[in-house]
Amino acid sequence: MAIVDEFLASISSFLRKKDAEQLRLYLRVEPPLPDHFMQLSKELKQSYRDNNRLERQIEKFIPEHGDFASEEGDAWPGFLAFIKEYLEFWRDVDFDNLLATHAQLTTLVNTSITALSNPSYGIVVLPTAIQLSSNLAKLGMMLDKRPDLTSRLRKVADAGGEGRKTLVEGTAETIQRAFTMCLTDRSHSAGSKPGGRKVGIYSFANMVLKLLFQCRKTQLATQMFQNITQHSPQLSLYPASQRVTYLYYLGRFLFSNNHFFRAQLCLQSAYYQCHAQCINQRRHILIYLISTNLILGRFPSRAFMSRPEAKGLLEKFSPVSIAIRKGDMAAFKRALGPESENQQWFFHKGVYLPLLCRCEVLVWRSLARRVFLLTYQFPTDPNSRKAATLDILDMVTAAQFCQKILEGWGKPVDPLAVMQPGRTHMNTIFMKVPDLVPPAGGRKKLRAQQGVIFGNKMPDILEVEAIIASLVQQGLLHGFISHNQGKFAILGAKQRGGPLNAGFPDVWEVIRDRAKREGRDSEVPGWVQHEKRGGGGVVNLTGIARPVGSG
Amino acid sequence: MSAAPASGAAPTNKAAVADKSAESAKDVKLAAALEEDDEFEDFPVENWTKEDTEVPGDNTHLWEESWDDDDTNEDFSAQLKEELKKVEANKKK
Repeated sequence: MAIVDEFLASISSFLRKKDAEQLRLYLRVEPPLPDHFMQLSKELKQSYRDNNRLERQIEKFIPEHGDFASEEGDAWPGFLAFIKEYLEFWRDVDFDNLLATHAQLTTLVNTSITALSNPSYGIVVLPTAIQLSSNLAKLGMMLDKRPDLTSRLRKVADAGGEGRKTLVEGTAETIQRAFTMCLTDRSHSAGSKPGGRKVGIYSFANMVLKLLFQCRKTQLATQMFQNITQHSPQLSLYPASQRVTYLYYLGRFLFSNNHFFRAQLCLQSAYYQCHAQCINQRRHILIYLISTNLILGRFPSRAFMSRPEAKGLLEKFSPVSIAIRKGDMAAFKRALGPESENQQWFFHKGVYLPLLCRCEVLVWRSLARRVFLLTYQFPTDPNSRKAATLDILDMVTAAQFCQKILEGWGKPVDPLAVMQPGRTHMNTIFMKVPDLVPPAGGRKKLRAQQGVIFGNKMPDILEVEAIIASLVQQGLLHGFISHNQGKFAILGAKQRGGPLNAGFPDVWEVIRDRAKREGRDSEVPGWVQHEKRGGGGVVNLTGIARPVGSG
Repeated sequence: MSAAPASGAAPTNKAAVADKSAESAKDVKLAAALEEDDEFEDFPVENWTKEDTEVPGDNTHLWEESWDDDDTNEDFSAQLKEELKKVEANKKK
């Protein structure tokens, strides 16, 4: 029996048995593949150049069901069109031409999605459609890293005047069609399993998300997350690999939209649910989980030191957390600056700006705490009712000191010390500490984000007072500012075990409590955690909601 | 025009070439470091149990929530203290 005939006969028999898994195994395109596929391709090239002949052959082996006697397991037009496209793919494909292959595979995926759309029978091609879409996504990702191949496409698109849609974005759009089809399936989830095509929701969603992150068009995912919130069964019904992948992308999406608390919930859950052996995935999750937690005021503990996925990561993040701990603004800017050699890496991972802008707030809080620690005279009388205060001018001094360090200021060279090496002037202890002076070659030029306030701007009281006011407003400092006295006064020192505990509460505690108050600590849009009541389907009110008195 | 490089220009050229190749080597290294398993790979298995997610060691205290550093003797504090004292002294003058 000729190989094409044999192939079609097998497909027909799987269709009758509704064997979706066998169909998937037969309808593959991604090498490496058994020799059968090459033989199939060869025969198609030799004998089926004529599309009509191919069509007739398909109809001979896979009869389309009639309108009346539609037996279960018969083919439908969408399926026949898909099989034809599949065979044409194997007839015409040239794997050396990746762009053409991508175009052909896109057509094939589109026909598989159309086949999937049949409300009664489509479900049988779901595993096949997932597999082909996954192949297409992979090829799209691969081509995105080959601008030498895709640059020509871009020129054509530009000339056409249509918006700049990249190949990856187009691929995401194709697969999103399948996602929407699965999401809007009317079957109800029964018990512990999502019903009908809903099984495929997260397989397709994860592919689309991967592609959107690749082409940096994550905003396009907003609608997808909203639709999932409304129509998807709970995520916990899906396999672990899909749950973890989805929560990873949802976490990154929330992170890039500054919803750090919710991002943390998703990423933490993804990390806990990830397979212990999957180091690549655990590492990716951890990069964003650590970044999010730093912003929220939680630092990675020693528990991570023995974990293979954290290898090399802690070294990158620890200069940042050490600087936050100390309130050392200069060290903080350097930890994220070009001198740390990690700047490019942070930038590439998309965490550079969030870390720089958000953690800076925590550095200011720690700097205020440090200045308080260094300047406050704890009262000798334990019953003193005087409020503990921080002088804002001292904060200005500290901010200016950090700015000077960043600009390269230093102590002037002592001429006496140079003249008499090894001997110090007998009067040194009576001499005043010399002022820091700018470097001989002039102050180091700082870019906007490299300075304490803005570039080479020396911080003044106006700015520092505003920063303290902002910290008070955010709850990171507990107390009030007396503008007239130029002081920040701590409230509730007695009740909260001293001015340090009262005035400078733990950052995480403050942020977590606020999230709780605002109800952001359990529900996350895009993450369906509970079964929907009422099934979430559309209720047809025609005939039920008649006007009063009409019936 | 002679194709031979003028004497004296040669060493500069050589240095420039060496510099350039060092730079491109650096670029390659950087690119490699950034590309390092850059993609969130597909999982090799579809599903697994809770037991498969367990890793040895402490799993309950992954994050430090109280991390304030009260040590005022470390470098930054010492320098800051000196600066605060100096400014205070200048004010009194």
